[in-house]
Amino acid sequence: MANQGIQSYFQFNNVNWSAMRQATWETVWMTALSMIIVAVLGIILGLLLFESRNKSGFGWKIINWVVSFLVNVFRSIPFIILIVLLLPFTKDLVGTIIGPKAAIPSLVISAAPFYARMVEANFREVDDGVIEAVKSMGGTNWDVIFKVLLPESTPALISGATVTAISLISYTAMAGAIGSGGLGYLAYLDGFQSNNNTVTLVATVIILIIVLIVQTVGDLLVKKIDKRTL
Amino acid sequence: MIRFKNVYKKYKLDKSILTAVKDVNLEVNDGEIFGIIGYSGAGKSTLVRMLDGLEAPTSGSIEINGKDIAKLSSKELRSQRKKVGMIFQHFNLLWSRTIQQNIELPLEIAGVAKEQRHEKAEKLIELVGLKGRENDYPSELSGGQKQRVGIARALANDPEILISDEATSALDPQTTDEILDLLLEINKKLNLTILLITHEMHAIRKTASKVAVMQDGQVVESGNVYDIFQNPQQEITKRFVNEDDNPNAKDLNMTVDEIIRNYPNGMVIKLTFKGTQSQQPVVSQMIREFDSLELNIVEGSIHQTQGGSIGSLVLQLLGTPEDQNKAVEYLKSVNVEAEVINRG
Repeated sequence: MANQGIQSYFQFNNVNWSAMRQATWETVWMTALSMIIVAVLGIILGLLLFESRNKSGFGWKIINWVVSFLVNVFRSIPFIILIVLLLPFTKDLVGTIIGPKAAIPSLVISAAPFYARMVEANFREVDDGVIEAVKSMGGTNWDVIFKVLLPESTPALISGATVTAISLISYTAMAGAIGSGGLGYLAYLDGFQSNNNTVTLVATVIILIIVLIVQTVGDLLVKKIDKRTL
Repeated sequence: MIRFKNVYKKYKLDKSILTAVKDVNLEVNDGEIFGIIGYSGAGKSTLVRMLDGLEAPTSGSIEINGKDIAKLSSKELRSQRKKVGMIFQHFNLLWSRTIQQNIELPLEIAGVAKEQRHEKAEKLIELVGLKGRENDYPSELSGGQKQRVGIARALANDPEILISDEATSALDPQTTDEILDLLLEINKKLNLTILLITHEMHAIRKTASKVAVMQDGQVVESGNVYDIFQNPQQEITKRFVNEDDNPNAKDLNMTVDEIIRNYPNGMVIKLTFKGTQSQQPVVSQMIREFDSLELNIVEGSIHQTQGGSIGSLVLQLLGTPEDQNKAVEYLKSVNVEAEVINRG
């Protein structure tokens, strides 16, 4: 029988390669699109957390409390539960609850808080002395954000984004369980449910390759941008 | 002109109140290099932060050219800060920017057009002696070079005042001297008022014309550097002066001990020469005056201050006790300060 024993991993003629290509593409664009939204949202939220921290104004305290609360809540919900929880919201937002498009809201909502915390930590790593120097030059808060915080933490933001992107890839696979499309869905449907272990293996290898590419590109970018050491 | 008037700064801690600055009154004239010296925790940095409007005094006022810093709106304060350049102990450069881009940063903030920024940065790079390093990053520079970038950056907006907050404290002695020379040069070239915050008397002596000594938030002594060096009043000032005068005081004490052991009958004295006295042959005249007198030179040094040179000489006088005493009298009669360290 084809579905038993180790040799069941290597029945390559059972693989529908065009479906595999389609699924790979879906995984890539789901990850890429959600990562772009996560990056923008994460930096904005991270900035809000950073700026509202230790500020004495009442407004700042409220902002800090609200953002912290949301970030902590959504970071704590397991992804597979979050995706189910958000089904009605997804339906209203994108008009469907299946396919790659439907996975985007849950992916963003689970990854953005995660990235926001990283962004906040990265901003806190920026040398206070440099911030003070810019203020002593007559710089505004916007100057501090755009001329110090963002450029000085770019390498850290990129390596954080790399980590986030990799966990997004595994989230897209999990989202396959509720029919999001992509490699996870293919492995589940064609691999598990049809007892086609080769499909599962190929999907795994492709995901590993995508992760490897993301990690390598991220590391190279950081290395190129980071001027802290010789 | 900078004027501190009855300035206090208090911080509320959990259960107590910390007074970081206590009733400080100072005046700094235009074009002057004014030193503020004190150990860490003396309130120097708080004073500077208030001058830059980063913190407000609890009471009293700080004026720059008649403008009370604490009363400025945040917009006015930002434009005021552009007229005050600041250099820091840890340089505070942006590592993500090249040398040129770091120097252009204050100009960007001030909204200067790109071409003028480049032009200005080029001139400043030349002024601080970093030509050829424009496109390097701070991590590729030594400490002294980083501080040169810091100075160029502080000068970018043509400030009226330059604040040096422990700017040489992280540098080795030779680099410290180079940076101090650069500050002196800039002070003369641009007629820039420089406020020099430090814990090293050496830096004050080399550059400043006036000094204020701070301890526990208070100014305990202030005046011309030359006078303070000659005649320190407070214990802490004496300590600062001695540290600079005699960085190897321990060695000297050992030498003195040894000489006393070998020549138990001699008298060890320390002479201090001021200004033109240091150019007169006082000691050789003294030897000729008293027949039995002979001497051992233990240690000698000369220091340049902005007010003139101060020399010190440690001698052991040998000869009859009368002649030894008369020699000390003689020195006093020609106005050389003579301190007896040890009588035979």
